[in-house]
Amino acid sequence: MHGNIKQISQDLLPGLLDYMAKGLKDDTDEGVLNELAFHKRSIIKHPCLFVEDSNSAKAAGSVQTLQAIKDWAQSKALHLDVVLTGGLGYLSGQPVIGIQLPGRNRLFFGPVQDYQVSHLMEAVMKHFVPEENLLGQWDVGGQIEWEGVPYLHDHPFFAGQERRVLRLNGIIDPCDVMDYIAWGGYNAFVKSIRFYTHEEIVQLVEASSVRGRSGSGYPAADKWQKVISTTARKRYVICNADESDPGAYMHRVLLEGNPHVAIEGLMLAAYAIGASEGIIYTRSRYSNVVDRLECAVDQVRELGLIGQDILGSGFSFDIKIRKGPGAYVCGEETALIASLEGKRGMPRPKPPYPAKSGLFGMPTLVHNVETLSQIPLIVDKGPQWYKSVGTEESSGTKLFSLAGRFNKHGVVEVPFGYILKDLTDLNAQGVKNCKKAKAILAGGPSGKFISSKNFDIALDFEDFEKSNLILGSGSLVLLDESSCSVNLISHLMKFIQKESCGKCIPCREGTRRMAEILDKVIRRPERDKEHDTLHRFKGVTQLNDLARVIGETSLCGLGKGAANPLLSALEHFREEFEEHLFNRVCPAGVCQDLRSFVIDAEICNGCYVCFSKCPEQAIIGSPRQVHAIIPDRCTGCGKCHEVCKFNAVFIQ
Amino acid sequence: MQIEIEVNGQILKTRKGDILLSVLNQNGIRVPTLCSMEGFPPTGACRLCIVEVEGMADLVPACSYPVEEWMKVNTHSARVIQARRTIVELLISNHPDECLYCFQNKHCELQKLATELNVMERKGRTRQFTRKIDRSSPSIIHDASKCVLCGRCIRICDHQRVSALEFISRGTEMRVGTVGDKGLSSSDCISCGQCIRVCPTGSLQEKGHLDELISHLHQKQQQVIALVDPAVMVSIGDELGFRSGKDVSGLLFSALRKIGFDQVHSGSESVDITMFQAARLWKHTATKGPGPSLISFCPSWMQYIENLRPDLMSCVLPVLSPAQTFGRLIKDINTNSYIVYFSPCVGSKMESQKAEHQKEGIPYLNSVMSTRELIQLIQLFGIDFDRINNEVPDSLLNSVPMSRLLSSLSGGYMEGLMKAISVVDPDNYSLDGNKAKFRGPKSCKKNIMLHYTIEQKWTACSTLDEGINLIDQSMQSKYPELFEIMACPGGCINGGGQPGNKSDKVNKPRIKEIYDQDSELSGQISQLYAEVSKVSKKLPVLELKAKED
Ligand code: SF4
Ligand code: SF4
Ligand code: SF4
Ligand code: FES
Repeated sequence: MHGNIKQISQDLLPGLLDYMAKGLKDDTDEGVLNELAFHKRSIIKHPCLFVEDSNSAKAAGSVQTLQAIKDWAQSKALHLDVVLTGGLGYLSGQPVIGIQLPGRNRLFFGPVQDYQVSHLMEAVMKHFVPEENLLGQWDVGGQIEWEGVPYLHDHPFFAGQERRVLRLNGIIDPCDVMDYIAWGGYNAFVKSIRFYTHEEIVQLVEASSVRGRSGSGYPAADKWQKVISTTARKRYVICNADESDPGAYMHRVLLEGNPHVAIEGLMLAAYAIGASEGIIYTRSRYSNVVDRLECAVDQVRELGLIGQDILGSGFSFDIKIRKGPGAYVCGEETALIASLEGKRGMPRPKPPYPAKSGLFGMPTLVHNVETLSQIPLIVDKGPQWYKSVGTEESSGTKLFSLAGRFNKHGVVEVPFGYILKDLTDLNAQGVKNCKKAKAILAGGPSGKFISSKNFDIALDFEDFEKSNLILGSGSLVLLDESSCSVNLISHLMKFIQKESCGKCIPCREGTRRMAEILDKVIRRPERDKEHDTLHRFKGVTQLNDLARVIGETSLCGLGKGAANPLLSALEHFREEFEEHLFNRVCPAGVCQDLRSFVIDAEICNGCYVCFSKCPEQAIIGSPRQVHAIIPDRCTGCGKCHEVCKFNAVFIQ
Repeated sequence: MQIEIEVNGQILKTRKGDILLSVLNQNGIRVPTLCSMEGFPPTGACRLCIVEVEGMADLVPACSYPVEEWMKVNTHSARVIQARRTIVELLISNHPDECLYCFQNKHCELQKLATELNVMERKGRTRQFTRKIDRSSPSIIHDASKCVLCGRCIRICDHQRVSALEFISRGTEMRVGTVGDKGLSSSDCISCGQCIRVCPTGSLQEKGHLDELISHLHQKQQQVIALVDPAVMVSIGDELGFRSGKDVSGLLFSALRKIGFDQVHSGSESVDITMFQAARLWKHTATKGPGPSLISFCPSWMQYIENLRPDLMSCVLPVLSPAQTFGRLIKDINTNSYIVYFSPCVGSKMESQKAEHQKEGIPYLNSVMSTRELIQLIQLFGIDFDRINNEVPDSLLNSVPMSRLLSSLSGGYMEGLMKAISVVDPDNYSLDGNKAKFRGPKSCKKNIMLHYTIEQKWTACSTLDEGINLIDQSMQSKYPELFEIMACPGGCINGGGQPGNKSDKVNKPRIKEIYDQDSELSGQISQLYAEVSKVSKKLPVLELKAKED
């Protein structure tokens, strides 16, 4: 739907803006009301189909599903309206489709593959709701509900969630600004610019006690005050939409489904601090996000909500979208700013903080997508409402992305203080394949482990601080008994090492050294190299000291946090390390080099397949004779295990 | 605002906002640094300057941290020393063990750090460094394996407004390379050699010709002729055990003869020759009206114009550099000679290799050697400076030299030119005590010169950045303007081929010596001019060619 901006006619605009500023009034223009109802889809003439169009949905087959829907409608000569939406955040349900019949609540199904389409459509058209793949019905407002059909918010994945920022994800067309406005979007901004002073906005934000969602949880209002108190001829506000942590994807999901909420937050922040330029920094690889942001910003500009002298208020502000290369270190404010200035994305020492001297030396406010997305809610509904969920020191809700061995994956929005156990057991529906959970890595590559014993921890800044954990951006990666923590740590270290900007010595050289030491632990000793064992032990004895020095001397957060997972793993999984180190075995059987395979003589029927497939010629045997593996030759590649049709090959 | 902080239990008075490192240094407390450069904003890359500040969880880099009232600092706690040592150990674990074969041996900052921090053992090496040596430049060799990525060379090159160097790729793969990674010779490098001077290790070095020279000295098939640049004469004393700044030229001439040079010339003479040529050109140019003219004696500056500002080529007064002038004159008299130019300037190495400065494929200056190489040569031949006597150099001219050592300082050419032009055009120019105007520590010295008839502006600048800005401004000037731009800070005295790091401690006495030697010689200048006129007729003009991409 890109490029086809549904233009609102110019004579409706004043009425629309009035409605946005003051809310629904007796004298609200009839035309405006119709327009809003149309975009809310509370009055529809034809059946309406909502198909998730996001990167991950495409990977799950949404394109084929969409095609199947179109084909089906054509074969039935039926008029269907199709709306492309972002995702609900429920990755395990992809591709999700919503079906709304005139006068009825919307139904969500997922995953719906192309071959299931006609069956499903036919049933729904006959007002029969199949249970298979049903996620639930969703209340559009003023429609007849489907009797006996559960609601979406009662679906295990959504139950317990408090969807505020995500409330319109999967519901609206992200490429149509009127959809967002129909649900109350940009009201906060228009209201502010008409009736509120800059200070009042800052006060609202202060009263809401909203904290930055990017890790340290710095109070947002404090940052704003710092920027405001710095005199300068220009101020900037930057929205960091470069999600560089490999396990986190909530910004992508949020922006793909609803780019406007972050944009409105950016506009409000700009108004409050008096910034004349806003920049959304994202990565070129997020092509969907980039497209949607671009068309959203264009539409907002067309409505006159950004630009020169906005709505006659005298306040001018515009937004640029900049695509970065997608480097982990650019999550660091100063590196991000350097990259925006066209320099190499490397952090610089702080102080001075960006709030005092940021982009091109001007005071700059940097927030991530999630933090900015809170602002419209606070301004629109008031700090009291905002604080009605969450805890004493962590107000509001938080997005978390679930990855790893969770049974169900996706992005959830829960109130601060939500219990981790509920999230894993109820929302994520436990562990994949009924395995036992081992731990959760919270906070990405600089994060720490929460062992399964501590899953009753509350998800908020207070509890995490108390337990010396890191909330980070909110990525949660589950490990189960079949995951090897040493292997994971080694890979994380390699990731950090690759992503280190290379500027400071402890991070650049230290992470390399740590990665090398860890690599030695999970690798098979090279037989032709002397002293390998000695080096391995020597290295491991250095690990603790190295980790400490790197943490306390590195320049930026990347280096400071580089050793976090390692130190935390040493604390929780000491035995696993020792098994790898002393006994040279990987208990979970993940580290390829430390595995060796045996053939069960009872089962082997001498089919000869493994013999011919072994790349190391480590298998002896002849047809119809029991085969055996020569341990010294076996590199643990697992080919034999894969190819044996009779399950005769085991990990020792 | 005056505040007090506590460092190692001792109360220090300082001002709020001062950088901790400078407060420490002023109070005689030294912390190691690697990436910090005087006069440049801190980058905080090496983390060696970290100190412990009470109440802060992490260690704090002194080079970039402003002092605050409450601070209690410990600069050498066990924790700090351990951290510094770990950092150095990490650096070394990836460094080639070649100190013995490295030209920086005994001058290397990494070596010094390791000694100071008592690093006595390699804490493991698994990944071998990759050797990538860039030999493409005629003057500079860059061996990335010895690099500690302090970034100093990049910053100085940016400061030179050349920006030939940059960091390439990330993480462990990071290294210093040229823009586009095509090697120095295809970059905009102007061979100023400033990066060599700031490099703490042996990663950047000049292209040496020592072995070649030694074989020529031994073979004796050609006359071997030395030309010693004035800046060299005050710069080698320190290394040979004399006080800083002592002019050892007399001893040096004697030493070079002992080493086997058939002739030994002082560079002052060739400077004088070029000075008169420039004076003659300026005499005409100045009458043509306002606008900039550029003196051409700094090869790196000329290379800058060719590489980056070809639009300025037409402003250059096309006089060959003094050394090239010398080369032409000698080769004219004695075709079968081997000329060695001892120079503070890495740029002249590059210059000598250019096609326009070769005859039938052989450079007029067969070999250009840096001050550092000269010291090596003296040590190699075992010359004991305490036991030799002063000698006078051979000479091309039959007269007393005019500019002496002045050309080694920024503004020196201006002074010489003033003298020269007062003889070349006595009707219009006087030698009226203007010379002090070009002295002093400022990097740019702008002066309106009032002569009998013409008002004009002379500017001497030894930072390219400022110099170029001034030239650009002068396009609209109402005066004829003359510029002496030098690529090295303060002039050749800080040339890329000079030993040691640039510091006031060694520079001050050198500068003093140079000015002290200058005396009023007005009576003899006319005689000198007559001599110069005899030899300089045959000299060609300098040709510049814009660099093609
Ligand atoms: S800690 Fe790592 S990423 Fe951060 S500045 Fe240092 S090298 Fe760069
Ligand atoms: S010699 Fe000068 S121009 Fe060339 S790289 Fe070094 S600093 Fe830059
Ligand atoms: S080449 Fe030398 S000056 Fe440049 S970064 Fe490497 S060590 Fe530092
Ligand atoms: S000197 Fe301070 S970080 Fe390098």
